[in-house]
Amino acid sequence: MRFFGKSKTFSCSHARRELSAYMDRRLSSEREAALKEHISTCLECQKDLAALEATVALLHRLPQATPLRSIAMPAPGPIRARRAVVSFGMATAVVSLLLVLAFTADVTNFFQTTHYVQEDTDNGIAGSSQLGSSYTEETTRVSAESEWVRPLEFGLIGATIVLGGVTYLVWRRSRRPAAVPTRR
Amino acid sequence: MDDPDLVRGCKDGDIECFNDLVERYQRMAYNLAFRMLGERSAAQDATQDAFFSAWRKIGGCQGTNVRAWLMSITANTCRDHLRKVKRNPSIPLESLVQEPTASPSAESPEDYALRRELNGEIQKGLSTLPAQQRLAVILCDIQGFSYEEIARIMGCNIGTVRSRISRGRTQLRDYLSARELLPHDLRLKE
Repeated sequence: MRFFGKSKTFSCSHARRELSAYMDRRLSSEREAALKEHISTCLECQKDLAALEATVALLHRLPQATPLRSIAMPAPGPIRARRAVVSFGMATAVVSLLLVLAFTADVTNFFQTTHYVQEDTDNGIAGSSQLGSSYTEETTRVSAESEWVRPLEFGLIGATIVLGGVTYLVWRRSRRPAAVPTRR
Repeated sequence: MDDPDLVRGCKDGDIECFNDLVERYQRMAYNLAFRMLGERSAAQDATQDAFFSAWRKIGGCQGTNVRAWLMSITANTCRDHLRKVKRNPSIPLESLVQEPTASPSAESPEDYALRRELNGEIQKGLSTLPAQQRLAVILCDIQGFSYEEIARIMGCNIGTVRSRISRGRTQLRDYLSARELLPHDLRLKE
């Protein structure tokens, strides 16, 4: 018997090739019915099917092996990266705070120094001295910002930008799973 | 957490999420490697390599079927390992066959010894199959994957999977039958 489109019958050699799929119910209903009919009349194919089923049953009964040791991976990379993010973040926060303080002090004229200019009306020579000195001539009070304030502010702005940038880069790097953990 | 959440965590670089996936699937991956390679330390190395590879490739994981994705990587790692063994055949594969030791439980020592011997023979029979047929049979009859998942793992169509499983089972049946390991009335004629 052969399996052709219309006759729907199987030869033994063809049936044997289909037994595995028949066991797993992977044949179309038409082919399954035709094969079932063939098996019911063919002792050799019945025996083949039973042997195949016994083989699969033995495979099902194989014990599950347990790994010799866990394959879980250590996590030095990400933890180090996270620590670096925290450190750079803290440094950025401290520098930013100093910058805010410097600006506040600048706005409230905290860094301004006061000079008293003494004017000599006879010869026209002007000189300056600190507060507290006694003068007989006429003195004028002059306020001026210290020379180091601007460089300090610009320095703090630069440090904030650099540290902020580095923090952002380290943070981005810490989120990327690029590092391959080393073998345990 | 379910698998897609763990995969998302892995993509954000969280190794703890990855270790959760490892704990969930390492036994399955190890079993696949053990049945493919037939030797415990080689299976351990292959499983470890497979998970390293999975960590590197996690960006490409969709998170929909992590189990099949990991088994696919493990299968590829085993294939590489077998290729290496073939290139440097210092130790014949069949001599490496070791069966996992299970506790004797309630069965008698004789039954336990017989069962171990039978399992060893089945493992030897598996190692005689061509690699692709062996992989298909292991995934289907030992790991319990569906044909669709096997096709995904092996990167082929379902017709090919069906054919590989069929040929693999038939060859294994003949191997066991020739060694009189099947019930007497089911042994095939010489």
